[in-house]
Amino acid sequence: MPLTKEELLKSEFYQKLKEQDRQTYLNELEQRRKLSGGVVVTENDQIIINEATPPLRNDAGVFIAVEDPFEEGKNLEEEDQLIKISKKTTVYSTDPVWNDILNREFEEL
Amino acid sequence: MRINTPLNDNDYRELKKESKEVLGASGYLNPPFGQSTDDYVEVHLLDTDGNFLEKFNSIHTTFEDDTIILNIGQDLRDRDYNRGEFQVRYHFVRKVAGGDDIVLTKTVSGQPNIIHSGNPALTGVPMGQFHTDSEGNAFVGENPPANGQDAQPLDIKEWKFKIDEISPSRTEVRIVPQLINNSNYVKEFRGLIEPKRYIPETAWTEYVNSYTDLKNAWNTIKRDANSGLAKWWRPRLQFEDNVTKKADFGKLHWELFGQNASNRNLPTQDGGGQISWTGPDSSRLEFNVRREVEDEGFKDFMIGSTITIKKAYVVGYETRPDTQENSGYSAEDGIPELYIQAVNVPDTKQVNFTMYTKDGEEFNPNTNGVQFYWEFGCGHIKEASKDSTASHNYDTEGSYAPTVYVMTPNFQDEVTEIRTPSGRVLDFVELGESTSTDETDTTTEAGESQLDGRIIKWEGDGGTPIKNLSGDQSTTNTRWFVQNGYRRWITNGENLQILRDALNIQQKVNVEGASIPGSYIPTDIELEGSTINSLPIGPDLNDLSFTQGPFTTEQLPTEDMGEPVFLGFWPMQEVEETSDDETDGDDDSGDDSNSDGTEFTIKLFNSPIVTSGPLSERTAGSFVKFGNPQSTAYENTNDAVFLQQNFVTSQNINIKAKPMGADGVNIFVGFFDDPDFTQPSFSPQPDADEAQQVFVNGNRNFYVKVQSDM
Repeated sequence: MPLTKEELLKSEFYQKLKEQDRQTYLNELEQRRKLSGGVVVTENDQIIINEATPPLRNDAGVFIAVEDPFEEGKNLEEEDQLIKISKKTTVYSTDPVWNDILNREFEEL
Repeated sequence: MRINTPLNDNDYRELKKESKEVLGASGYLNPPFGQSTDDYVEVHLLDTDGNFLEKFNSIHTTFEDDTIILNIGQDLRDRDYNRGEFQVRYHFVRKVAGGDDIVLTKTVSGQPNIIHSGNPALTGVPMGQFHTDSEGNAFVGENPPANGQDAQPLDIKEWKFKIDEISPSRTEVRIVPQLINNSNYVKEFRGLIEPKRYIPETAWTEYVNSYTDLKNAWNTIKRDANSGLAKWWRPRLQFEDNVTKKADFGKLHWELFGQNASNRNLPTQDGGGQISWTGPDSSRLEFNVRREVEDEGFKDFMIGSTITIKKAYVVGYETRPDTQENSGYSAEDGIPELYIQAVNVPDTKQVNFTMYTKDGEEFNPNTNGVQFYWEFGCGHIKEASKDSTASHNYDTEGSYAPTVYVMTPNFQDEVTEIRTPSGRVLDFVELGESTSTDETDTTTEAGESQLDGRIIKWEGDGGTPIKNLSGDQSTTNTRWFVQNGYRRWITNGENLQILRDALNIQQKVNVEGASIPGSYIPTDIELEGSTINSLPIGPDLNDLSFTQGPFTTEQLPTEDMGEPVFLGFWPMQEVEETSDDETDGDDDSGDDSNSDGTEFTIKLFNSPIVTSGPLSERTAGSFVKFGNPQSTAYENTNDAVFLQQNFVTSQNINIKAKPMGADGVNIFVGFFDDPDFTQPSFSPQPDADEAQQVFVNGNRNFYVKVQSDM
């Protein structure tokens, strides 16, 4: 017999299953973080977040966005879930040299 | 890593600057991205195959200092993308014109596309009421007409500009405005290409004040709210009493009408100001008088823009030449007459060269402005340098004619004359057993004259005879001894007496048995100057001549004595050989000393200070010094009775003297061979402080005479 959402939330079995899935999810996340250098395991087996945390990526280098296991639809708020880009960029010489190097005239329109 | 741009590698390398910067820190891109309300981040979502899915604006992108922080996961979850793999592209966009706002347009009196409703901040006109039907069509009025008439329809348009055409290469687009009859819309479109003009806020009041009709209009708008003029302007000005200013009216009028009217001009000044260059070599302008405080002045986005200053007048200027007179400048002197002094290093093929002036001074300016280029006559050269000396090892023995090119900024000279240290002119530098760069002349025959063995003197006419090899002028007091057809100048009275004694010349006596001064038996032969000059000049007869020189009774070892300019020098060994057997005196020793190393002394006696006695005998003090080759400082009578230098080698030296006392007070007379100043050493005498060259080969004293004005 199908259960409603409210009934599921009250179901102990469902809650245990949900917690079990969440734990599996967190373990998998931790494992990925270890592989990507996002966490450091100390001699006392303590896990600390790497201060220079790189974005979490898989083996192919693809960025992995992780959902908050406690809040559906919300992304995990961790440093490795953000991609930081410097605003500094290559700049180019303009007047008067670029007119000597580039053809800046309209040609087609 | 290079950011992918349409630039090819070559153009990229040429145009890129070395350091990276935050775009928009100044200039037309100011402010930096994220600081403008027109900035937004557009996310393009694609599947893993690159197929476009949708685009949306990111609301989770943040900015910290110089860093952009992307929260991709949340951006996607907001769009309900909870699982799967995607490609995302973030576009950082700044709106420069247009927007997503909707406007409603209508036709008024046959004029279409008039704004009926829209954001007043954009359109500049108040929002009109409208309603829509079930199909979404818009009509004028809050509700449909009650009388059943048709409502006036409205067009719904976006406040955007259209891409009219995209070039085949997709690198160029043509953008056109829509048919919206609104000055703000047109102005915004123009702003895409027209230069942005900065007009000081205070200028708008001046604009109204400069036109009577505008002044009157403003007064009406301000005071008579019910006038037609006020009813038209007040909504557009969002007029509020005591808040809306004349400047607001001026600005709006200019934007709506004035800028398009040929008879309206924008005010360009605010009471004038001063602009000056920040320095004589600066390209920067400085505004010395600022506008009123309400003027915001220059802003960061103006950096790199062009400033136009109209009606600017020069009210004063100062001419500053870009050159300054060099007070220490003097026109360059020409290159003096020079010769090359050559000195052979014994037992080698090395010859040392030094540049000398014809005055006997070493020529060594030691400045880059005077360059010496050496050609040693054997094919070897020494590149141009400031070095006035050179040393060269010749590969083989032989005769070489070195040449030196002397170059200054304005002059050039080719020097080919070669001399030995003693002044003898050489045609070549000789390297080999039978030749020498030095002063050894070889002779096989002696000359001959009817006057041999006699003392001669100048009778005072027929031209002034040359006294000696130095070319000095003689006087009637000068005496020569004729030997082997050559005349030898007797250098002083003491030597003359020694010679007379050696030749057993007796002084005449009168009938009373007393000696007659200046009269001898045999008498000194008086000759015309031309006759004396016809006798070639031999070496000076000085005190060493009686002990070391070519003795008076010996044949002079000259082969080319026909040359009246130079006889050469006779080393002791040579003289002794000729003295013994009257044979030739070949000598290739290369030794130019006056003897076999015997030292001799030259003394320069300062003029004594004599302040008593007849005026003609009063003398003042002097300074004396040696010049080339062993230069000394001047010493005066008070510090030194005389200066002396010792020499081993016969040579030309320079001596100088000048009077003590203020300029022009005491008169330098010259050098004399005796302390009584009866035998001038030189004729003519040198001027004060003028180098006098003299050949020395034995002890000799020079007595300086300075005539006192007392």
